[in-house]
Amino acid sequence: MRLERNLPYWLLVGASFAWVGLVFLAPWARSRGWPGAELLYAVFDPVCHQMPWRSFAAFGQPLGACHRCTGLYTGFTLGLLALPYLPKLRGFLLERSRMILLFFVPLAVDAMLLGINTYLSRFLTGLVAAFPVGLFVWAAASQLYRPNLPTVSEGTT
Amino acid sequence: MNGAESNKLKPALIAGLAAGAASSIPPLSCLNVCCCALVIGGGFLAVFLWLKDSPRRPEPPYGDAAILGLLTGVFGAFAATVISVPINMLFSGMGWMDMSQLHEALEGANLPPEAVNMIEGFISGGGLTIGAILIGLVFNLVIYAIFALIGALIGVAVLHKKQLGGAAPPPPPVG
Repeated sequence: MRLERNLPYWLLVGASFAWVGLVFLAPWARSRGWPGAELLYAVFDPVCHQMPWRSFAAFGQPLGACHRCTGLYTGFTLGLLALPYLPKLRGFLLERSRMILLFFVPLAVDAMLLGINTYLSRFLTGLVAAFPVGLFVWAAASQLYRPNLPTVSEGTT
Repeated sequence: MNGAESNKLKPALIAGLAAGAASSIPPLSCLNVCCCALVIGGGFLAVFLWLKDSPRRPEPPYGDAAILGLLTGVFGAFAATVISVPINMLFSGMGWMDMSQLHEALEGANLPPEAVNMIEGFISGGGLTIGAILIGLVFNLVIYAIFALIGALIGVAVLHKKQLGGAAPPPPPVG
């Protein structure tokens, strides 16, 4: 599948940065006493428990999402940024797309170790799990943007 | 794109309703705090239902799966909002539990004060107004669309079976 860093790709990168930015904007806004701060926390409320003792803190306030969710969002964004420079991994993942499940194994194991896992394990396993997901969102955006592109077996930039 | 391929409405509706219902019914809804697992599962389910009735293709249909995921998220958001209204009324308006007893029980459980507040807030429910429902619907539409889309893309990555030898797909069964 041919993937290009075109307009949809950069829109995805922008949206991912904005999403991660909201996670950090929430505590900053709360620390400044902004009335919209609680709205920012409410954005992540349906998708994250937001327990302060399982979240990183910034500006004296918990982030908008927990350790694991912060790792997932960061991993997604990092994956989007890094995969264009990792053609072998990209080609492998596109060719054997089921391998994406392997990236979720550490997260699943860590989640089961409820009493043992640490903030670092939650963050890092979330980061690893979401790293390849951006590739498939990128592939979807590419197919929708130029659905009639000729395809090759391995990704190119 | 033939009729079978383009028919995403039915799987999106079924999976959206399932995800929305599951996301509204406590304690099942608690699974959504694991990064919207139920909604991601809804997107995955929609792709499973869709691919079951679709011909094999030479490469995974990520673009179509993204549209399917978005549709699933929209249906799921509406379903979750509608179903959560009577459930919230049931939990918050009928006084089914004495809150002082609950508070004592939680304090006795040696939980952090934040956890006690969170559980009490969950049990007592928030104010149920038209404005709150509409704001909830807008939030749900955005969140469900994003996470169902991701679920659908993971689904197509895992469930897609390649078309072998570049042969034409078999004709759909007659009757």
